[in-house]
Amino acid sequence: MSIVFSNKDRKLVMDVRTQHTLIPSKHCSLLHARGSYFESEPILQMKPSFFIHLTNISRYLLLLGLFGIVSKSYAQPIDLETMEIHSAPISDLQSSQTNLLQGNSLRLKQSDTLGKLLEAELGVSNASFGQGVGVPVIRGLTGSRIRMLQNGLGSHDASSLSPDHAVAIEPIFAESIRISLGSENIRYGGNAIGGVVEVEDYRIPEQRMDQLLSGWLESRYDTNGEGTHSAFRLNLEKDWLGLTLGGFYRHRNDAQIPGQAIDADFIAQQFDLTDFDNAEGNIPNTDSKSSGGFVGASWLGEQAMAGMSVSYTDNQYGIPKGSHGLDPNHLDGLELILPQLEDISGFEDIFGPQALFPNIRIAMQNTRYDFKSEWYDPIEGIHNIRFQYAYVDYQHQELEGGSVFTHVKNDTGEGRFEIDHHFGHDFMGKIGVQWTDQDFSALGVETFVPETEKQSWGIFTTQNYHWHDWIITGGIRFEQTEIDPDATTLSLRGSALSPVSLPDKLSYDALSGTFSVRWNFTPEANVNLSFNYGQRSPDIQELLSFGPHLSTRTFDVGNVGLTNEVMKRIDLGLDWESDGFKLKLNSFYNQMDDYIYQQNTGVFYEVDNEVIRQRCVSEAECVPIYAYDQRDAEFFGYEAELSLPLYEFSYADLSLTLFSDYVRARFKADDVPRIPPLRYGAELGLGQQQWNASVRYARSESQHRSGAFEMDTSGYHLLSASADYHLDIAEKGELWLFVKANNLLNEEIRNSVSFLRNYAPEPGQSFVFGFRASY
Amino acid sequence: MMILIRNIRINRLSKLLCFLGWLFFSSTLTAASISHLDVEVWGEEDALFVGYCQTPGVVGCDLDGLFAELGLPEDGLPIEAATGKLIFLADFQDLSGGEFKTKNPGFLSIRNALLPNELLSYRALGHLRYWDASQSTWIQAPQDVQIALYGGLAAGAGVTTDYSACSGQLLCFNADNFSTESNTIFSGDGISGNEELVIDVTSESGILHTHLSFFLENRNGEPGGPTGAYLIEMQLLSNARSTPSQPFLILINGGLDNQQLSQALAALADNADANNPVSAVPENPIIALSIKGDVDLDGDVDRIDIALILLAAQNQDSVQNLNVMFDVDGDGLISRQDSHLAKELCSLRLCQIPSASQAELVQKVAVFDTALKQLTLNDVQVDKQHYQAVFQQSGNNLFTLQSADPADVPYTFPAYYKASNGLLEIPVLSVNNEYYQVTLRNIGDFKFQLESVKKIDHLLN
Repeated sequence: MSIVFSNKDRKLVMDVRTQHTLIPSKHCSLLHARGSYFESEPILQMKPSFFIHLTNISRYLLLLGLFGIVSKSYAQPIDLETMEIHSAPISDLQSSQTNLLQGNSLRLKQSDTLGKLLEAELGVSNASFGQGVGVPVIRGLTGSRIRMLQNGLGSHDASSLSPDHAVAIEPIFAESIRISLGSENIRYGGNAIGGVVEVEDYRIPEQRMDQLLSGWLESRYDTNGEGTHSAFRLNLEKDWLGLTLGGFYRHRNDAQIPGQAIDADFIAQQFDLTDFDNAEGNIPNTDSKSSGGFVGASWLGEQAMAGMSVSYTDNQYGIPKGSHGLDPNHLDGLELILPQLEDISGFEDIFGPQALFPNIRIAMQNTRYDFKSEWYDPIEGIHNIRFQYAYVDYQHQELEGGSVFTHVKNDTGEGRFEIDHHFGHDFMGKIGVQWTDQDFSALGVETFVPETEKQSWGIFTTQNYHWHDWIITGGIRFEQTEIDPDATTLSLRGSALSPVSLPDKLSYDALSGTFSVRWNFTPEANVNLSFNYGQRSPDIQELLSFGPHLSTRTFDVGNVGLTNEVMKRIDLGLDWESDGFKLKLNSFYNQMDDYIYQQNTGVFYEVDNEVIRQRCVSEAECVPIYAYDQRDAEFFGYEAELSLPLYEFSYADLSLTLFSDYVRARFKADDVPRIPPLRYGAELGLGQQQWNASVRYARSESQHRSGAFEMDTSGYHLLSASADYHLDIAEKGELWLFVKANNLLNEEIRNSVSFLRNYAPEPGQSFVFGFRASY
Repeated sequence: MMILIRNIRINRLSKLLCFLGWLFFSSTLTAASISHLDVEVWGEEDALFVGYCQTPGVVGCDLDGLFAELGLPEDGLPIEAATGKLIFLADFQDLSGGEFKTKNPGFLSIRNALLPNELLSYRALGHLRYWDASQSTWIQAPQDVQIALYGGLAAGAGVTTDYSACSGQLLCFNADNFSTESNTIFSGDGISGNEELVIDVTSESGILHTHLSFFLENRNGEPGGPTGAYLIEMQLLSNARSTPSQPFLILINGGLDNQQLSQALAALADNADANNPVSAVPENPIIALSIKGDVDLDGDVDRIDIALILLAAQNQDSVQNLNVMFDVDGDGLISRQDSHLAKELCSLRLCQIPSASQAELVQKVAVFDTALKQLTLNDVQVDKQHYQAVFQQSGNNLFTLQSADPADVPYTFPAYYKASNGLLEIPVLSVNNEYYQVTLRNIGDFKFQLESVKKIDHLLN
């Protein structure tokens, strides 16, 4: 294998037996050979050795592993030319707070939604809302507290607004996904106080490749719901021009489950109902269909690059039936007339089951325009100047029985300008500004958030200092946000209540800071202690919601008196990796002052009569009124993972991974709802360079601390397995075959973080078959 | 097509006498849970009236069906003989989800029977009465039982919509007195809690159809109560009329079979004073119906209308005065073709995709009559006070205040007057069915100068 790596033409030449996409320079800052530590996740079957000094060639090879280049090692001569090596920023490399998923481990976990893809990661769970929605939950936090990034800029969908809205990022294109809780999150503002999930798919070409044409084609089939998921990507590079093109199509039918969809005990307890329609073996209206694609083009100069991309996603999915229409005896009197009709032929469209108990579906369209430019090493001390801008035209319609009842629109522009600098060899960092301009509305029959304009800007810096075996990181950010509702009053249609006057404009200043110390007490191990202070300004829906929200079956009341939510978190982490084992331990304590949450007022809104009352005869026809409020909360817990090689067979290595994570979240008097339970388990792996097999068992305990007005969830056993095989094709091609089995025990899983857990359990047993051909 | 319907102007005296006569002779009744009778409401000038809903085929309006169910004579009317008060029937067991709660009877008004955006409330009267089946007598309800009635909540009834008084929340509930202000308790001792609560606000067409929540429970609020029948009394109020309705009774079955229930009803009606009660029965309004296919007279064509026509066609009902609206195509027959035609006319959600205008209906808080040159503001908010104001156009872009009276009409889009700058902002002014956003400036001497006018395309928010 021969390798030439030159900073000048940013060109890589290598003997490629397997195809990998480079992690481009966006993630790279200057890493000087002198004594800096860095790390990477194992790519394919590399034996892990994650903490090294750059003193010889073998470490360069590992460094290349960091870039996702090396997947198989072959003892061949290497020629090196001019060498200036870029890696991820030091602060990013604090692995106890960062989890980088890429390569085969990412591809094996691929799923329809980001939450489902990441649910097995430490500290992460999946807030599902049927199979069409899966939003990552990190240490019990989600929504407006977790920033979803696509190539460094926000996804700007409506997923933070409500749990029934999907994240508008198609995960199958992801080349890497980074889950971060570290100091770098300060770059992303108050909405990242709970963490960052950054998906990199490099749809804007950023690196010159030595191949004129490269790409991949992937397809998979899921037996549960007969799901298909196919995608392709083409990369074209010629001289200074880089082009990318990608497309995907995915479809699945209703999710198959063991037992009944709706938890009958819950319904009996909650609504006094025993006679209702309950599906057996599947969850009706959880089918989904999505398609889309992107095209990107870049000019790749020697000292700079500039590129843009356009992407479009159409996503249509169903929402599992909730309490609405649960009781067949409430059809405004129609239920008494219809049984008398002997012949409804010709009127099935209005008297058929679907018309009487209509499904709620969401039809989402997302068009995104990205621009990115970078200037490499413009002057001494400046490593990189980077400008990014994305404009997202997001909209979705919520339909009931085919009729639109809400139209959610979110047009957002986000810009980011950053300078990566260094002073000498030991001091480096970033300075940047970021701004967003958002127009949001949720209008229609169900209008629960008025048309609102939100503008924010932030200025930030993060600095890293390297002193002997210590790395000290600090950062600060100031952010200003203005929220300006177009409406002067909000009213309930048909209600006897007086209209609610709104303030003209709401302004918030937020200050965040971070400080961490990392001690590399051996070349193989480090301890990291960090303090994070973050302020999050209230979001639009938290301030201005006012009306029934049929998808969540709640009546949301905003609160214009909300102040900044303040996070004070301390993290202590240990990473230890040697030839004999790999250990990762994190513990955290997170005090959230003025935590914004939805308080159940104990009062109901009767949807059909449009009346607020304290009690309803038919609670299934009423929705509880939730008002946004603030109170202090605390979150604490841990994540732990230990990987051990068990035995080296002649044909493969056997390894064992033990893992566990836990988060406890509570207010003073009761518990924060929708928090994942204690989870622990083990994974046994057997494999070598060409193939792998693993079986994983995870036990999730019951969640008895479910919060006020919430029901406990039972524990469950989750057994899964996977196997994959790499096959070289011709000189530059590779075929990767894989099979996965999920929920092998076919357990009924009521996911405690899911809003709809009592109506829609997680999918039952499934087998996924697929291939990926790359060239 | 304009059809004139006389809803029920039948000889009520003869019906009542027939009914009373039957009560003495009925003997064979069966079954439990009964249908209910909705309370139909209408207004005439300054007075409010209630009566039995008898719109053909509509649930809650089928008086004859209820009588048949109870085995009563067809022409009877349930009226308390001693007082002439109408009796509306309901049943605690008529809905799934529990034996001790019901949302019947409902309250409804047909198109144009009330004013647009008229706020209806109820006022609880008397005390809870109980039919003791073992003694066959109406008595004051036992000490350990009560009926809790949960009406709608308006500002003032423990609900606040001023965020400055709600710690920023756009809506809040006063926990201190919420439990006592949000419901009405009927017990043998009388009325407690909030005697008056909101029923609902009528639509732009004066239509209303809403239900309240009735719970049978013990004094601790736990569901349940002795088997029997329960009788409560109330009258209706309107914010647009000074004369409330006549008091009426609601009889709610609490587990009696039909025979026992008939006896309970008979006990109320059998002391007939032939000189008094009949005159107390109000005449339902004469309705001008202008919507083809709207057979239940609720102001729109919806699936219930279509189902009712289908049922009438299936039953081969002939066209009569009372059901002439079922003959949608006017061919003299009620057929499935009429249902198909009504389906095409159906314009509501889940029947057909709604047009934007239907999703954007608003209450007309402000109307400018171009003929009279009169500007009527039904709700002007000055600080926290609400007024009803009338202006007369007295020149080009000049309006003179004619009257301003205190009002508590809660409108969706009230006008705002700020004394600090003298501006009167009218967010939605209706002029010949078009909408405008208007600002007037107080120039003194009760005169207001037109400051700005902007046409509004849509009325959301």
